[in-house]
Amino acid sequence: MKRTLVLALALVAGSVAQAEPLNVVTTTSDLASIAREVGGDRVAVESIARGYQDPHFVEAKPSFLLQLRKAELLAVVGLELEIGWLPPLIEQSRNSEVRPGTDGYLDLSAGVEILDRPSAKVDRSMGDIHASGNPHYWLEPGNAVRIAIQFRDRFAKLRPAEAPYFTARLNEFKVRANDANKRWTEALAPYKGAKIVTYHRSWSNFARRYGLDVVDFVEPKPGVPPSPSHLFELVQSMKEQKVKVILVEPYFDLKTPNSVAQKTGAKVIVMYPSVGGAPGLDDYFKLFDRNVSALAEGLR
Amino acid sequence: MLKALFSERLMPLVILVVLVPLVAFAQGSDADVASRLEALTLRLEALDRESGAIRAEIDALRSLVAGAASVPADDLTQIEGALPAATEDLTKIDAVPAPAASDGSLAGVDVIENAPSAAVSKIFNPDIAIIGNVVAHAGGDNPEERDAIALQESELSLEAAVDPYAKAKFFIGYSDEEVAVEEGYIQFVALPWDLSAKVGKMKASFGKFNPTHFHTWSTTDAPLVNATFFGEEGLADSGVSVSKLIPAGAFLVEATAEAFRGSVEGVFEPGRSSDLFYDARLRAYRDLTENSNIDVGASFATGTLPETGGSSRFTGIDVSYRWKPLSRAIYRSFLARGELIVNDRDGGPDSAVGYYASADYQFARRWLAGARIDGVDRPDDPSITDRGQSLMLTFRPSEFSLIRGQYRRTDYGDGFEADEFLLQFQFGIGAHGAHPF
Ligand SMILES: [Zn+2]
Repeated sequence: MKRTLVLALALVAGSVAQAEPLNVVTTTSDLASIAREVGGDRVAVESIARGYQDPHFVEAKPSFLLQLRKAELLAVVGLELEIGWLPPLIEQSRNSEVRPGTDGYLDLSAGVEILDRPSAKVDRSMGDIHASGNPHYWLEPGNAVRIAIQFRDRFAKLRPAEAPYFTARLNEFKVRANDANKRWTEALAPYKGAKIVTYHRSWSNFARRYGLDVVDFVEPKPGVPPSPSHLFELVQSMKEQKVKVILVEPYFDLKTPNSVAQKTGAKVIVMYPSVGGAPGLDDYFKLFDRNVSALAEGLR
Repeated sequence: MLKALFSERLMPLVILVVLVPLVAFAQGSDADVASRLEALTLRLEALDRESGAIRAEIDALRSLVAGAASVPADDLTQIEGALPAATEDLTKIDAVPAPAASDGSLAGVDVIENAPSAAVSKIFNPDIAIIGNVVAHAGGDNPEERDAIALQESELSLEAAVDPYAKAKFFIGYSDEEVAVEEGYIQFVALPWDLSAKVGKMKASFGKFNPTHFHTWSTTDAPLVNATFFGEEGLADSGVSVSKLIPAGAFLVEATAEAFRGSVEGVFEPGRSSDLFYDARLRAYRDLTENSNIDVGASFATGTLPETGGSSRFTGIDVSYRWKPLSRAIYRSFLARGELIVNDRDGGPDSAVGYYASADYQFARRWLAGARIDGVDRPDDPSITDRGQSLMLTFRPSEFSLIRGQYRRTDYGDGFEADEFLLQFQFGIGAHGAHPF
C-alpha cells in the first residue's frame, strides 16, 4: 500500500511536461562534459573549443555565431581565460539572452576553488598572466563537483519543472566523482610530495589535490616562449631537486620540453587538460583515468 | 506568521513533512524518523532564507523517493550532506583539497562563493587600450615626402557597456600632426531578429580591408587601392549601420546596410544635405574543415563626388581563405585574401579598377612572412595605373608587441619608381583586446 503511494508520487513528480532540451553552449569541452552529466537528455550541450585546442587562443570564427545565436545558456570558465575571443562572439551573436549579467550567462569561476590569485600588483612584464587567478581550476574533482552544482542550480532556474531530474543527476555525479576520486587518489598516493615541472601553469589545482609539488614551469611567462637563461636554470634546478617528469599540454610543441628532459633525465608526459584532447577521452572521468595512469606510470 | 503558512513558500515544508516518513519507510527503518524530521525542519528554516535554492532541494528529496530503488539506502545521508547550504561544510571544503591521506571524500564539497575580483570594482570604467605605432622609412623617390621615422597613427580605444541594450566604442587616432576620432559609436546589441545596429562615426563595412584598424593589418601600410580610392582615413563617416545574421545551411550570411552623412575627404562631398552616401555589403562565411574556412563578400557604395556633384559608385568583391590547425594554432596559420574594387564616376572617362592580393604564413610561434601585390587606376585618369609589390616579415615577441619589416616596390603610372624599406614597431598596453580575426 505504502509502496504504491511512493510509486504514485513518483509518477506525479515525473509527469512534468517534457520541454525542448535546454540549449547550452560552453566555451570548453570540460564544462560541456560536466553539463551533460548534470543535464542528461534534458539539455543539448555544445562546446566552442575542442579539447585538443589551446583554450587561451581559440579563433573567434563566425561559425560559432550559429551555435551562440540559439543558445539559452552560455557557460564560461572565466578568469579571463576566454578574454581574447569570447567577447566579440557574444557581441556578434545578437543573442542578448547570453550576455554577461543575464541568467543565460554562467561564469563557473564564481563558485569554485581558485588558486594562484596574484597577491601583488601584476603587469604584462610577467607575460599574459592570469591576473584574477588560475582558470585551469576544472582539473580537480572537487571543483568538478562545484561546477556541477552550479550547473544544477542554473538549469533548475531556467527549467524549474526539470529541477528534480537535474538534482538526481547531480547527486549521481557526486557519487561517481567521489568514487573515482578515491581511485585516483589511491593511484597517486605512492607519489605524494613528488616534484614535477609543468609547461604552463595548468595543473595547480590538480597538483594540490593529489599532493604533488610543482617546482617550476617550462614557460613561466604565459604566451612568451622561455628564454635560454630560464631553460638553463630550469635544467639546473630539476637536476638538484631530482624532478622526474615534465607535464606538457598536447597543444604545445614538444621540442623544448624534450631537450630539457634529455639534459635532466626526466620524462616528458603529455597530460590532457581537456575532455576530447585525444581520441577516447570522451568525458571527465576518462580524461582523469588517462592522466592519472600516465602520471603514475611516469613517476614510478 | 499564519498568513505565511498559506504562502507558497511553505508548500515545500508540507511536501517534506509528507515525504520524509515515506523515505524513511522506503529505507525499511523508522527508528530515527522523529529526530530526522526535526533536523530537516530546522534545516528547512535555514533554507527558507535562500529562496532560490529551496525548490531544487525539495525536488531533490522528491526525486530520491522516485529513484529510491536505484540509490543505496546508505547513501541517502551522504547525498543529503552533499546538498548545498550547510554553512559548516565550507570549512570542510578547505580541508578537502589538502593533501589527502584520508578518504579525500567529495561528499561535503559545496560551491565556494568567490568574492568578486578587484577588476569588478573598476566595472564602470571603460576598457582602455593604447596601441603605439612607429614606422621608420628608408629609400625610394616617393612622391609624397615622408619622415625618416615617425609615430604614425596610433590608437586609443575606449569601450564599455552603456546599458543592457548597448555598447559604446571610441577609437581615437593620434599622430604627429593631428588627433581625430577615427570611430565613435553606440552599438545596439539587444535587438530582435538577429539584428545589430550602430549609430555614430564609423568605418563603412565596405570590403575586408576598409573596416579594419591598422593594428590588425599584416602590413605597415594600406593597399594602393584602399589608399587611392578611400583616402588616408578610409571610407568612414557619421551615419547609421544595420546588419543581420542569416544562417543559410552551412553558410553564415551577414547583410549590412548603411547610410552616412555623405562626406569623406576627397571621396564624397554632399552638395546638399540630402546627398547621403550609402553602403551595402553581403558576406557569406563557411567552415571548409575544422582547420580552414572561406569568407566571400560583395560590397557597394555610392555617394556624391566633390566639385562636379555627380555620383561616384564603388563595387567590390573579396575572398579570404584561412587555415589554422586547431591543435597547433599558436604555431601555424595561413591567410590568403584578395579584393577587387571598381569605381565608376558620372562624367568620368572609364571605370577605375583597383585590387590587392595577399598571403601571410605563420611559420613559427612568433614569426610571420607575407607577400602582397596591389594596383590601382587613378580615378581622375584611369589610364594611369600604380602598381606595388611588397614582402613582409613580422616578429611578435609577445601578444602585445610586434616588429615588422616591409620591402615595398611601387611603380607609379606616371613614371616614378620607388624601392622602400619600412620598419614598424607596434605595442599595445591596457585592456586585453580580442585577438584579431
Ligand atoms: Zn592558462
